[in-house]
Amino acid sequence: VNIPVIENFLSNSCFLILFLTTVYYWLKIGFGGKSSFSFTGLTGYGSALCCLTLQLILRWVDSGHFPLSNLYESLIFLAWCLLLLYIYIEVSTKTLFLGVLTSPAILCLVAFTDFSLPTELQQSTPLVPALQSNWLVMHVTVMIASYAALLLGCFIAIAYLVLSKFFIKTTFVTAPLSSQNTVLRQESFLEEKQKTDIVFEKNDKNLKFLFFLDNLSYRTIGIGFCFLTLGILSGAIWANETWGNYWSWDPKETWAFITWLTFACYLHSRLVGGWTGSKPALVASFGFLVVWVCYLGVNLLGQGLHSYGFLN
Amino acid sequence: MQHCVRASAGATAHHAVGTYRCRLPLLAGPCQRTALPWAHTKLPAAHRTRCRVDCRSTQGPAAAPSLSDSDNEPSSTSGWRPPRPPPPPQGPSPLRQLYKRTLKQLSNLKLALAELAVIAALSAVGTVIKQGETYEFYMENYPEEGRKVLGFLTGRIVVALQLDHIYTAEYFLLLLALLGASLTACTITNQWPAVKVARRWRFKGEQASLARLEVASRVPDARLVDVGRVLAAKNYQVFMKDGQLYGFKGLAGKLGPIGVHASMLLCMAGFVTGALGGFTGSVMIPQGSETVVASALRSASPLAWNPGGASAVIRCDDFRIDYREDGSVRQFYSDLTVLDVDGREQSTKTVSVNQPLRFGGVTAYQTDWSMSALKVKVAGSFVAPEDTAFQLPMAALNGGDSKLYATFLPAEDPALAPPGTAPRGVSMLARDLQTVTFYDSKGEFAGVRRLGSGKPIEVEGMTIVAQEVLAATGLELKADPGVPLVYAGFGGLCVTTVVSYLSHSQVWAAQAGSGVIVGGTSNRAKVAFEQELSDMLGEVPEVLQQAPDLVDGNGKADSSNGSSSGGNSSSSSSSGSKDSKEQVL
Repeated sequence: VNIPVIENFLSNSCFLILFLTTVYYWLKIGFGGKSSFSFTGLTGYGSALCCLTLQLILRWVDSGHFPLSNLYESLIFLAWCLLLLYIYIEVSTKTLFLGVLTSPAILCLVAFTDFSLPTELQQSTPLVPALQSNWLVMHVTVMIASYAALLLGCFIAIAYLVLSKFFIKTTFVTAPLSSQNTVLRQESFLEEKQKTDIVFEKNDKNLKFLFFLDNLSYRTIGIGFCFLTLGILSGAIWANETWGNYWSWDPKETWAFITWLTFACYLHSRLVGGWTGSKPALVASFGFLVVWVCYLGVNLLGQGLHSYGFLN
Repeated sequence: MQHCVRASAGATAHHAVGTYRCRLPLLAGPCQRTALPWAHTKLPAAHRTRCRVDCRSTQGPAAAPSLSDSDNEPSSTSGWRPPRPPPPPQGPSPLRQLYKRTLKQLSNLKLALAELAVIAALSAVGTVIKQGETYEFYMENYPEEGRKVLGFLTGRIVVALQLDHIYTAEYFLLLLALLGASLTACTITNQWPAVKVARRWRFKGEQASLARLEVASRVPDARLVDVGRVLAAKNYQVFMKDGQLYGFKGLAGKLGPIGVHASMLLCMAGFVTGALGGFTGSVMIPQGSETVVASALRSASPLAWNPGGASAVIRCDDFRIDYREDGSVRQFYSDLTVLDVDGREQSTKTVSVNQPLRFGGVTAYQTDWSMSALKVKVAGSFVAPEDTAFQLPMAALNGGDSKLYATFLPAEDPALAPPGTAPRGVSMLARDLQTVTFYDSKGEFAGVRRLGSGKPIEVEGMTIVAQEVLAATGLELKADPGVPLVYAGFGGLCVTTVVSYLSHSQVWAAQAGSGVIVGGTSNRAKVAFEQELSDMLGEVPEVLQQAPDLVDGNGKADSSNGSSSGGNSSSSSSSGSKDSKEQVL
């Protein structure tokens, strides 16, 4: 069983499936009309997820250690988490639109991982002594999962900002987004209405969608923040067990802390009076950059405790 | 006349008065107006007047016992008392005023956001400017003349602003302390009272107030009890009285942030304790020798208290490195023994990189290693012509990032060499514990030998066998009394952050004629809440008319439920089932 060949096949097929899924979503949203849950799109995502899962398992079997020890493996895992998170969101919220945005993003990520990363970095190397610990599984998994959730949430917030520029121009500007009840106040409750309708007027559909995007980004970033907290703390405890120092202001640790502070600002900014919709979304857009700097930027500097097997 | 609904077989019945739980239906008997046994409790007169004035939520005796209990003035029926003189007027003392004003300013959210932003920015600066380097390094990399970094940043500015050790600079630590003060102030002023407020709630009876809620709808032909039942089935805690209903879920999500802030304060307390009360140090123990722990420890501040293990002695019995086939290191192992002051062995452990040694409040971590001596057997040396064993001390050479150790074996007596010149000899270099490289007097490469192979090498007229490198294990010793606090804070933070993700959803409802007006709000999961409420209202059974003798409600109630539940009911279907009902009657 030639594992590298199978791995190559899996990564190529994952790219192809994601490409087809992207095209499908774009065609569907362009010509399909009704945007709702799409079984075909989910099948595409699901099979890409299976390819990546198999690839990770094969790497695990091949190298003997958990497949999260270098940049290549962490990128694959990031794509895996993004796919899983997206599938969950589409199934639970039954919205097609996000697939239009996220499939090209994941496609680019997978393309960069498989085609742009130098081949030496793609090899699985044995672990250095400091990484030979069960904490590796917990800490790195949770951190990458948090990056996935945060990136997705920030991406949705950026989409919100872009779309709100389009929508707010065409519909009435003065209505704040959280007061869907303004519509209800106008209607008399004594009228007979359909029992299960939460009533919105038709021309509010865009505002309703923006509200949905806003709340979705809030919840996704919220769960990402939980995972980020768990990841940073597990990293601190692991460092204490290994080096006796739970915080040494290593660039990667510091940037994870900065990311945490940025998203704490985001979550609290919604409580500041008058900040609805766009202003928190701006903080989230800034947070998007911060996450990328934390994940990739720090490793490019090549110094500190986290520079294992990266561009040194 | 009201419909009666028999409790279905699987429903639980919690009748305890004064508890919050209310699992509907829990009728005590047939044909009761409302389902709750305490609903008819008479309230004391004082509460009723209070309610009329400011509509507090004291109508639900099951809620917030603190309200009804503490606010209860004991009725003065015990006898006549002389009227008390009015108390002298006094305002709060200036100190208390100052305290309150400081708290208010510190708990300002915008200030806190600014603090977070500044701390983040300064931390980022510390990752860009390399920390902890020498003065010359900064002078070199941030030059004074020519092209200055960023146009103004010179080495002098870097050092003057303490940017070379920004994480221990006073202003940074003060900022962190300010953040801690803000957290404390916020907890005292906003969040702790929020716990009390969260336990208070009120019914909303008027249609206008229900309509003002974020999500509101009218459910025609429905009963409040059915709405309550559906809510309870979705894990809401439901309260009902007088045709009004209140249900909530996920209260923990509202209280979670308080826990987050408290955990952060606990962490900060642990950090401060560790920073002031700890001991730290590192030591290199050659194989076979020992060291007193206290000699290697330095206190972090004068406030530090000695750990018990400071008087212990650590002996390194062996140090070995496990290499892989390609020459990379798999793991480092040190066999360590801890002895007490009198030399008695306390414990032994093989320490490796992720397995430290703990004793008496001190922890020893495997962080480093070095070579201390090289054992060789030499024939033909100037000391003696036959095979002699030497133990040559090794020194570290500064060459890049990998370790390089070397030693020197003179081929002639150094005392006889001309003054000012180095004697001829053999240089032996080693990078790891596996091989030794030999160089002659001219610096030419002479050969490589594996340690322990026994293969001799001829250099400078001597026959040398390299036997073994005596290594020294590098241990990092730490005594940190703040670690339990920090770990407790971390644990709390993990749990409370996840709990804070929960969304606190509240639903109010009121019977309005034949229908029910329902409204609700959720603080985080707004969209999901809308969907959930919509689905729940879809499950509320439609009640068609008031029939006088539907005592055995099972058959009839089921048929009316079956015809109209589960989706939008148009008037045609409801009239159809009305016909069937009339036929039955």
